[in-house]
Order: sequence, then structure tokens, then C-alpha cells
Amino acid sequence: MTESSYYRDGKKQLKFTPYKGEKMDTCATIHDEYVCCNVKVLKSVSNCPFDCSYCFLQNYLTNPDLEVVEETDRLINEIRQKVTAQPWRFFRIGTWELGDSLALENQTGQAKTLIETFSTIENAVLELKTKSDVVDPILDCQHNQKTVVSWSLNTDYIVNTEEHKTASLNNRLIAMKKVVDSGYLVGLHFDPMIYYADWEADYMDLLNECYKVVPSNQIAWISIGSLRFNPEQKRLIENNFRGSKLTCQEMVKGSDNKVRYVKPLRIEMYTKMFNKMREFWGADPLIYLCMERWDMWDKIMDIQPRSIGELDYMFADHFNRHFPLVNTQLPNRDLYIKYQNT
Amino acid sequence: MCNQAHIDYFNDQFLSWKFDSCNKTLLDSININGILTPILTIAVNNQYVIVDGRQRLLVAKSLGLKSVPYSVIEPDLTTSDLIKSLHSSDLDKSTIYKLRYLKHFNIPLDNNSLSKLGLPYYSHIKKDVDRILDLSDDAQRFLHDKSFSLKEMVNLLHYSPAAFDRLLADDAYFHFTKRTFDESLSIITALIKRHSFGLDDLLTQTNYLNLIDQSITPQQRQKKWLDDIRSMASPVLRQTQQSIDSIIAEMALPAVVTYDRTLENTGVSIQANFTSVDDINLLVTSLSDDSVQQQIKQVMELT
Repeated sequence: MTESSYYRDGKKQLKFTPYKGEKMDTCATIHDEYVCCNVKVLKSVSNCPFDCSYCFLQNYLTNPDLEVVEETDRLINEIRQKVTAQPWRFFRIGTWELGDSLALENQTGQAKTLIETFSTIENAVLELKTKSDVVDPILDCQHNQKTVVSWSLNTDYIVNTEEHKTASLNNRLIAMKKVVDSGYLVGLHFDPMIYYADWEADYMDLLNECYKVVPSNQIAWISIGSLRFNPEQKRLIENNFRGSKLTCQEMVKGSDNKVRYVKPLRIEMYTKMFNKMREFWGADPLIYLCMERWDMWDKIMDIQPRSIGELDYMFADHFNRHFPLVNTQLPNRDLYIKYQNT
Repeated sequence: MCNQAHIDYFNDQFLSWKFDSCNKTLLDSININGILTPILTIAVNNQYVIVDGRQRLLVAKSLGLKSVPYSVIEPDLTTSDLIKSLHSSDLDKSTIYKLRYLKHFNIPLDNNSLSKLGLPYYSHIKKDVDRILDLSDDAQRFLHDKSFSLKEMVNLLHYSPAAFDRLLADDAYFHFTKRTFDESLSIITALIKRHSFGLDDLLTQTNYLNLIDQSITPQQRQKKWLDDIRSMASPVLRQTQQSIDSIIAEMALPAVVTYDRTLENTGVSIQANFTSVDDINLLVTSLSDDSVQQQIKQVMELT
């Protein structure tokens, strides 16, 4: 570790940096056995003002500075170039890979510019994922439902004990209601689910609170995932968050070198969440597992996507059927499979 | 130039950051030959302050020698640089020595000083170093003897302090290695947090106290206890493995049936060695049996 490379040091001051290299890529967590949904990421933000104990940035960032790319027009050029090159594909592009999509919006105004740009792009949606309640700057944007405003959600207990400096659950829900009322599509990410004594009752309460705010026909997607980290990060969590109980549960290491709750626990957690979601919102919303094995999809949801291309197609197809104004073209499954690694 | 002086004439203030150690070879040698290499000193305020040879002096004292040979040097270095230069071999081998040396000479914990000793710099290193040096001398000695790195020591600090002290005090019964000490503490701390146990309850439940009373070697004791706490830390995995193992045992297939014991990879692996067509037929017949297929399905559901 060299001087000032400690990831927490850079969080205190926002820096604007010039556009350098390509910023749009496939989600970094992609792996052969633990399925990724082939979402694309726009690395417009690096590091995060929040301080979640489970955050992978602790172990990932080599540059700890809190940075936002200042040349949004160049980011937009890159996006346009890439989505135009594959007109058959329905792109999902998120700005949350290395930071929070909305936490810095009052200072940067970047999300607003991106929302307005995406409203005119035929074959893509923007995903802004946040743990903040900063939505006022985007409420009046012309979005055409081409932006999905998503929340990373957890129980009150986990927000209070592990998601330091983030907006409270209640404030996130208030912000979510504003976004719903502004006509946006919403994404709900119950990831990472964390196992603790009262997890079941608390997560069911959480779903109930979300159900009161978001109607089924405005849900773009819902993801479920559980706590996972590599062994080095376990040490960092224990060192950086001394009171945290995150690492004390029963976990095993998978072939992607990440430890997760032992499989029977994950199955129990996901099944209860999935069934409750279907009970609340019905069969329509697209629910997916984040970074889970193929067989888990089968066990939890009775579907068997066998490749990231197939999963990518599933999203495009879902949008074409449920939000035909957002994805106007009928997706071609063969192309999604053939070009799944692009 | 070598002189002789009374043994009480020397001050070891510059080397008190080092641990006393009983070196039998040195003791035997001094007992027979006396001190062959003079103690190295510098003169400070009319006193001879040792910069090298503290161990020789301690041994000489323990043997009741009245006087020892010494040399006085007048170096162009600062005292801390002189000590670092003369003790670089010990400093290179022990992170605890590096930290004790830095503290002893009030050297600031900045990037420059730390990098000279091969230590990393980060913004809160002072806090970590203070916490390490607040540990008892016994604990620091243990970390020194087991050659813990700074990162490894910082990791230990985040485990249960009560468990740390207890395992340290009982090391003679277990002979922990660096790895097993860390693993034991990691598991115990997790169990304490997971179940809100007190340390004594946990030690009772994991058979720790009984093991201490048993007439077995420290290595056997360590292995048994680690098995017990690993098992206690993974109840769901162990229970599922037992269920699968019993289903596989019931199958009675003429083949070796295995599965991923972490349960992450679903399915079973069936491995058979055929030496005749009859062997093939036997396996095929067994696999065609409805109850065997049902059992394989059960295993697949559990993995």
C-alpha cells in the first residue's frame, strides 16, 4: 500500500477528471459459472461518498480519489458509437460500476445530461443505481422512460449497521415515490441480501414497504443477490469495520474465488424473496439473480438461462413485450447468443 | 581499542526495544571462553551505552562475570541510524522489532521512514501501530517469534481480544503456527459474533478445556480443536454433507459416487472401473433402478 492509496482517504473530496480511454464496458463481475446479465457499464464515476462495509471498492480501487468524468459529451459520443454499431441489441447501460449514480448529482449534473441523451437513443436504456435520496435534480427531465432509476435496497437493520453515510431506507423510499410519480421506470436491487437472526421478517417487511411505493407496471427489473466477497476483502471488512458482523456467518468459496453463504442458506433466502415478490407484484416483473450459478436459477425460479447471451436476450424480450415504447424492436435470440461476448 | 570495565558500568537504553533471549550456544561459549567479541558502545554523558552486544552482556551477568571487554566508537551517524545499521539483520526479520525500534527512537511514521524499513504507509498506520505496541510484551514476543507481518498483525487485532489473550496464554498446549493461530481466532471470533456467546461458553462447547486436560501432544490437541471449531462454524454444510453421504451410502452402486463438498457445483460424479462386460451391465442395471435414480435426484436437489 503506497501513500494515500487507502480507499477511504479519497472519499472526502470530489475531483473532476478528463475523459481518458474507453469508459463503456461489460460489467466487471462477468464469470463463466456465476451468471452475469451482460449489462454494460459506463465508468463515469469512480469511488463513492458512502461507506458500505461490504463494498468491493475497498479491495478494487487502486486510485482512491472520488472522481467524475467532466467531459460528458465525450462519454455520450462513445455510447452513441457503441450502440449504433449493434443496432439489433437492446443495451442496458449503468453508471454504478465504480460508484453511486446519483449521490453526487447536485454537484455534477451528469445524470440529468445522460437521461436527456438516452431519451433519444433508440436501442438503449440508462440505469442509474443509488443508495441516496438525491432525485430532485432529475424529476423534471425529459426521460421517455429510457432511464431506469434503481435503488440498492436493504433492511433497516442492514442500512443502519452496514451502509454507512447512505440515505436511510425511509428516505430512499420517499425518493423512490417521487421518481415513480415522475413516470420513470424503477429497478429494485435486493443485493446483497445479508443473513442475520431476523433476516426473514425484515426482508419481508422491506418488500412490503417497496410494494406500497412501486406499482408492478413501473418495475423495469428486480435483482436478488447475496453477500459475496473475495478472501482478501474479508480481511479488509474486518479491518475497516470492526463492529461489523458481516463476515461471521457460514460461507464457502466458489470457483470465482468469492465466498458466499452456503448454498442451502442462499436457496432459502432467495426462494422466500422470490415468492413474496411474485405474491406482491404478480408474474410480470422481470426478476433475476445476480452472480449466481445456473442451477440456482432453476431451483429458485424454474428457468434455465444457459448463457449470458440468453439472459441478455431475456431482458430485451421482456422490455419489448412489457415496455414496447422503450424497446420497440423484436429481439433476435440468435444474434444475442452469437455476439454474447461483445 | 578494547578495554575492560565493570559489568554494571554499561547502559543498554538504545537496545531495550529488543527482547531478551536465552541463547544456549552463546551461554556455553561465554562460560568457557569469556566474551571474545567486545561489546560495542558509544559514550553518552560519561556512560558507556551499548550499541551492539546486549545479549553478550546479559549472558555475562547471568554467569556472574564482574567485568567485560568493550570498545568505544564515535560514529558519524545519528544514534537511530547507527542502531539500524548494526541491527539490520534482526530488523529485517521481525516486523515487531521494526515497530518497537521506530517507537523507541520517536521516529515519525511517515512514508519516508516506513519505506526505509520496508513497511507500508497509509493514513491510519499510527493507530494500528499504537494498538500493536499496546499489546503485552508476551503478545509482542509471540508475534515476533512467529514472524507476523504488519498486515497479519493488524488482522489479528480485529479478532476478539479475549480470545487472543486466551490462545496466547495456552499456546504451550497447542503450539499454534502462524496460520492455525489466525484461523482459530478467526473462527472463534465469528462464532462469538454469530451466536453472541461468551468466550468461556464457547471454549466449553468446543471441547477446549477437556482437550487441555488430555494427555496428547500439542499438535494432536491443535488438530482436534480446529476440527471441532471448523465443524461448529459450518453447521448447514456439515448437516447437508451428512444427508448426501447417507443417500450415497444407501445407493450401493458398483461405482464411486462423489460430489462437490462445498455444494457449489451441483450434481454427482459417478466413476466406475470396468474389467468385463458384466461390470458394465451391473452398473447399467443399478442405474436403471428407480430407487437409485430417485436417490441421485435427491443428491442433485441438495447440491
